[in-house]
Amino acid sequence: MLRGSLGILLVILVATASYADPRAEAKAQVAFGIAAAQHGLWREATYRFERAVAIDASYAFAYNNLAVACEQQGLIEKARDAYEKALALAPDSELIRQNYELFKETHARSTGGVSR
Amino acid sequence: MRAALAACLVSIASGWLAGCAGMYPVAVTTRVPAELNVTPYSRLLVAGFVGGGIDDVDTNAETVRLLRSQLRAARSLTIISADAMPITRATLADPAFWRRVGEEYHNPLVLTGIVVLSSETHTDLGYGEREFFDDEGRRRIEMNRTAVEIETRTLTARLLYIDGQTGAIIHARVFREETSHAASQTVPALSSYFELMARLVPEVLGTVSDHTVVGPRTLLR
Repeated sequence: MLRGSLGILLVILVATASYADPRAEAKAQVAFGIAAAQHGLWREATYRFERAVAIDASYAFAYNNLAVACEQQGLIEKARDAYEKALALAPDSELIRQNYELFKETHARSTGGVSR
Repeated sequence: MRAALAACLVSIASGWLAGCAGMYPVAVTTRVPAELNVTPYSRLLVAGFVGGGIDDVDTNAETVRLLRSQLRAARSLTIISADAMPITRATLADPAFWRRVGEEYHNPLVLTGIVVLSSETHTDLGYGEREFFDDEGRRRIEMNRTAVEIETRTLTARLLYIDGQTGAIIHARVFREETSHAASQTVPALSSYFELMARLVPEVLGTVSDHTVVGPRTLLR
């Protein structure tokens, strides 16, 4: 049953990616990563988002998602780098900016960002 | 186990196929370490505070009692039970005094500072309702601007964390929180004090104990 399920997933991924340009392939990875994250499988999600940025380094949403996944796993510096890359690629994205502001607010203390 | 994993994978695939909108809200749980490195300490003394402001509230006694109970619940350090000390501004900056306190209580981390609850009243323009009857005798209500007396209560706190062995201040934080209400309302000063301290307490807990924060984020596609 497990093998069958994995087979279905593989077919879906390959079918999506085979016709695709790098962005479409990266989007397929991101879509899978989002589904994994929604089920709490953050390590799998991180892997998928890392694959996505490796495939298409200009995909801002993939960096945003990688940042969120890293944040969830306590990889704070890696999350910060990913948020900054996402914002550099999409400086007008309010949603990325909002995520980053929430991230900075949460982690201000550990980096000494709160007024003393 | 395999069946559960397979079901999970199929579920992921379904969600993946169904997800056509571009935004996916998720909750991120983050463990935030204590702001202050408290590993050299096993005990914390909430010594006392320089109080002031509204006479109705003894900010020294109330702050000591409140912070001790909240810090005990956080279970990060053993909270020393002792009477609230009468603290003056001069003692705050006296390392020798704090070294003596440290000796007495076996070199704890000491929390002290200044907590003042003050009040001031000002006039603001607000909206009120005016009832009248028009030319045809129908009852009407219109909004009109009217002067309203507003009382603002402000909690100003400077919290100092002192090393009981050296008497040195190792960490300091300043807070200013305020709340307002119509002066015509009767709001006990102690009620305002607790409302304002409720905003400050999480910051104190986060200073000496690890905690988790759950926050919303948006995944994008």
